Amino acid sequence: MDDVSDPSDWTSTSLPQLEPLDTGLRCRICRDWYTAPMITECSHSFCSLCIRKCIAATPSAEAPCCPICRASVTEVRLRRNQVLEDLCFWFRSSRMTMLEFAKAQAESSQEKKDVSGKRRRHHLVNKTESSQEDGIRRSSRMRRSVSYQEHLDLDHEQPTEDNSAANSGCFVILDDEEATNGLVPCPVCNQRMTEKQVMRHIESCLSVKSISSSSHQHSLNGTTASSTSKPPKTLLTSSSFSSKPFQRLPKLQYSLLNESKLRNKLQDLGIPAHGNKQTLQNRHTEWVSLWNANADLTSPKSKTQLLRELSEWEASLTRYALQGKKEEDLDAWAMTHKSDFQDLIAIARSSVQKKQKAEEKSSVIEAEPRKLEEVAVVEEPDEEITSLSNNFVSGVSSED
Amino acid sequence: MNNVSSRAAAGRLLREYKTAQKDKNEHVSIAPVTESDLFHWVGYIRGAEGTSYEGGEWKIDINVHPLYPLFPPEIKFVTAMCHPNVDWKDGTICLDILKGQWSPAFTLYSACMAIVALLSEPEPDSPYNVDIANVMRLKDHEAADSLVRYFTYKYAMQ
Ligand SMILES: [Zn+2]
Ligand SMILES: [Zn+2]
Ligand SMILES: [Zn+2]
Repeated sequence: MDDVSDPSDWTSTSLPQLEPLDTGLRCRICRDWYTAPMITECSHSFCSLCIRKCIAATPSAEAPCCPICRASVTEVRLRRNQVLEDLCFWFRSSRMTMLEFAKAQAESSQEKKDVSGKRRRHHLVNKTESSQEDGIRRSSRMRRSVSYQEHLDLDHEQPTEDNSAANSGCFVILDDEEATNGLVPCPVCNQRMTEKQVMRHIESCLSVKSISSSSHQHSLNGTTASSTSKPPKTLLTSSSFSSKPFQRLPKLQYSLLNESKLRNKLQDLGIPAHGNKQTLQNRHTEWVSLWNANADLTSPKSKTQLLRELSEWEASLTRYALQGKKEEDLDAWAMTHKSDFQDLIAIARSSVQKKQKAEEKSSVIEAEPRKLEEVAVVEEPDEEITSLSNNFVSGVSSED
Repeated sequence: MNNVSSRAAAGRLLREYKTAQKDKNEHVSIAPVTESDLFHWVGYIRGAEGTSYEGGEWKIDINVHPLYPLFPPEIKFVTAMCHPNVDWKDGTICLDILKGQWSPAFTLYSACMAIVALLSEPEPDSPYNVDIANVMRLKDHEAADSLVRYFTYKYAMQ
């Protein structure tokens, strides 16, 4: 579980106040880091793809609204939230380092509490040794947790704890600075330097890397997909960022198109054109969302990649439709429960009537007798109910 | 789930699972049926103290749409639930946020908390279970209460 980063990672560290910051840099629809965040008219932000899909999924009879505040949202009025994207990037680039630091700090302060008083001197002598052991134990625990990730086949959230010796070493360093001269690896190029140097170094490191090569991609600690591990647009020089190859696609008024005209539109776009009109319409809608969100990405994906995503979207829906509900189970359940319910309702009705009569008689002393009656039903179901249930049970067993 | 759309859902569900393990609550606990399929969860809802559902624990079944969170999860009671907004026959729940009022900003956990709230604030005017709703509408709360307590005792204890 440790391999999927989550705001709750901060809770048991020495920096729990970073949890709201971590939450704030994640989209409320996918709960992942913002990818090409777009700001709405109501000043909420979502990933471009998330909000576009959300708008597309709105039934045509309703107006699309903000998932957070339900104010109405218009797709053409969405604007890029560049600052949010940059903040997100900078936070992610130092997150793993900060997190390991805060975890180690929490643990070492816990250790100090545990040993306090009794053997303070002894503890100081062995400090280096014990914290290194701790580092090793932790990283093997992380390694075990990775298997779940692989099982799910999420290429999201590379388990960076596992993939470099530098990182597990890094943990020990942070745990006890003196032992290793306090050097930490740059999250981009893994070069070792002091923490202060890293802060200054990262910016220059990123701009050098982004201009010099797209062939060599760094994996950032705690970052997600490769498309987002590149620096934000603002960090690139104007020369390296040429005009976008992706023009946004307009929405279609499906009601104005017949099936064959719509099919032609899909063929023109180079996407699969089989199926009935509803299928074509759904596929076109999905394609427009994928395409337009891709145009908002700092480094857009290829059309081939988008086509793959489209076909995977369709496959997951088909699988779901074919899945078939477990209706028979539910019917069987209903059969076993229905009749005793009807019987009890009838009893309840008659008891209501009895009570109403009783109430009319003794309206002065209200509370006491009512309570008694209630207890009688709850603690020991009265004879009528018990016998009904028994009849019911025997009825079922004889039927079967 | 090795496809992109469901992968987006799976990523979110994995985070929800992680938080669900940390946010243990006295009224709701939920988890995937197996870790290999995050699209089918099982949960338990416990009645709030001081309500007719006090002391009961109901099993619920959560089916997640592949395009979650764009579409709401399908949540049903597995344990018999006597409530005006719950279908006695199949456990279907009549709750606006599980239908048209769903927002992708909700989570499985927040949806379950809304169900807990529904237990203490039934809406007999839009009933799935007409019979218990009628008893409630008779305004004799004791009759409804004792009936609910009886079913809680019979089906939702131990
Ligand atoms: Zn998102
Ligand atoms: Zn809003
Ligand atoms: Zn560097």
